[in-house]
Amino acid sequence: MAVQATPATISIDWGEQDKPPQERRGWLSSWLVSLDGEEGDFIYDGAGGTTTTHEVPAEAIGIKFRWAMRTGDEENPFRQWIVPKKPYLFSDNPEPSIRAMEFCE
Amino acid sequence: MSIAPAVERQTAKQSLQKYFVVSADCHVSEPSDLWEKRVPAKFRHRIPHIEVDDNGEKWSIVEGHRPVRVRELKMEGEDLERSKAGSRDAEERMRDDLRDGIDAQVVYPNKGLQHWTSPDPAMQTAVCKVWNDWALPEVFRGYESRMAPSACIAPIDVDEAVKEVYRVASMGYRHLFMPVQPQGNAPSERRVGYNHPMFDPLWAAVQDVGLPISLHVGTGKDPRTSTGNGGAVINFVWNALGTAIEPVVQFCAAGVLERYPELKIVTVEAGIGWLAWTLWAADEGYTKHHFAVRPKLSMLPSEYWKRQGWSTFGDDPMGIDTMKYFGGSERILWGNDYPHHEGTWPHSEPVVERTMGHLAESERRNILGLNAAKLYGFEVPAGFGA
Repeated sequence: MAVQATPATISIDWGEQDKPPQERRGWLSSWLVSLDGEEGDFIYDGAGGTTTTHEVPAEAIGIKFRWAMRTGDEENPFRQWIVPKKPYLFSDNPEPSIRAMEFCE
Repeated sequence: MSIAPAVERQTAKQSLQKYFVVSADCHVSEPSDLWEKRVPAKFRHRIPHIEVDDNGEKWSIVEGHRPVRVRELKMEGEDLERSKAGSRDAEERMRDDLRDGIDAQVVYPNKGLQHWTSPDPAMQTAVCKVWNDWALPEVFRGYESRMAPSACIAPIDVDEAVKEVYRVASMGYRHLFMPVQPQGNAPSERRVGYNHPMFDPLWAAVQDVGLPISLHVGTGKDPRTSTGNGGAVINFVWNALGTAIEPVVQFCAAGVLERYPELKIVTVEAGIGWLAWTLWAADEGYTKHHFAVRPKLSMLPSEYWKRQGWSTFGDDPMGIDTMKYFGGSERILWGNDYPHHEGTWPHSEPVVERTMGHLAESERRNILGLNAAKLYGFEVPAGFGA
């Protein structure tokens, strides 16, 4: 069966369910809307340990994963935000269910 | 300009007790997601971040700068303490001030020192607005008697900059932070300096609101352009501190300070030891190259700086020894650069003693606080004035 390039919905497992929330990395991920890296609305802003499901907007061509590791400092809990150099594109990854950590190690 | 109410004296350092001490160069740590969450989405992917390449290597990506490989630095002891200080909790900042004998702070960004790295004026404007909407309204409001955060202005889009100058003045900001070079990371054929007449509407607006302009080093041009042998030292001396020479000469020699006699310019964290030579050289150039000089000025270039220029420093004995050549104690402001590693916090007292111990009381009062109080609108407590 042919798989559509852009899924209508996507479920994303943000990982680290085995860690307490205060030890999980932070996520601040959004829809990717152009190949030059431009972003749309945020998808998920949180500390992982969960799976979220989203309707994929028509303008989205992929996902801009953005994460940050913990510092241990309450006032500044996260280090600088990290993104993968290679963008996550639906044309390369048409699956409707993914694990974010696989693309963000 | 609004004048803040008098501060309650909290200075704990014995030798600083008799002065009203303003650190004219401090920084605040912004939330890690400040720009990511607030900048318009079309700019979000262009703000500074870390990128992981196919080999798992991490690179710091800053638009306008060359990518730099990320090294994990292990901080210990006081280095670690400094790396965690710079709180956006004003009460915690005051506790840190107390340890160092400080009464009030002039506050600059930390990550926001990168507001002007992109050569794109729209990008500069967008990230500056994020800071302006955050710093005073959300962090320092209610603490204006102790802390004067800067408003950040992207000068290269002059029309937008003029609007922002009036907006931030109406918000209550008391000084305007512009980059040392307005577009230092653009290709050379597109660079303009502050001597260009395109900026005149901006100077008119700044003069109109009556706020000083702060030029903090390390901004507007990549301070890490030298690599290889001696690179770190070359970058510190020439690509960071040395960059303040150019705008000082631009403002003086191009007639900006003559056309706008109420304009106030402050170089920040560049030190002061270079000022005597720079102003002497500017006058030499103006006099000996008189046949090529334009515009003709009614005074020598150095005289404009002595009238309208100030400079901050932390530990600069050569600058103290030569200050008579650039206007004396009324033209310089001391700052501890809290909480940065190259600053003097929390050990400022011996530095002040070592570098300024031989000065007259009136000079120390000026340098340690009264000049900054006048420039940034801090009310000096009774008994601590001139």
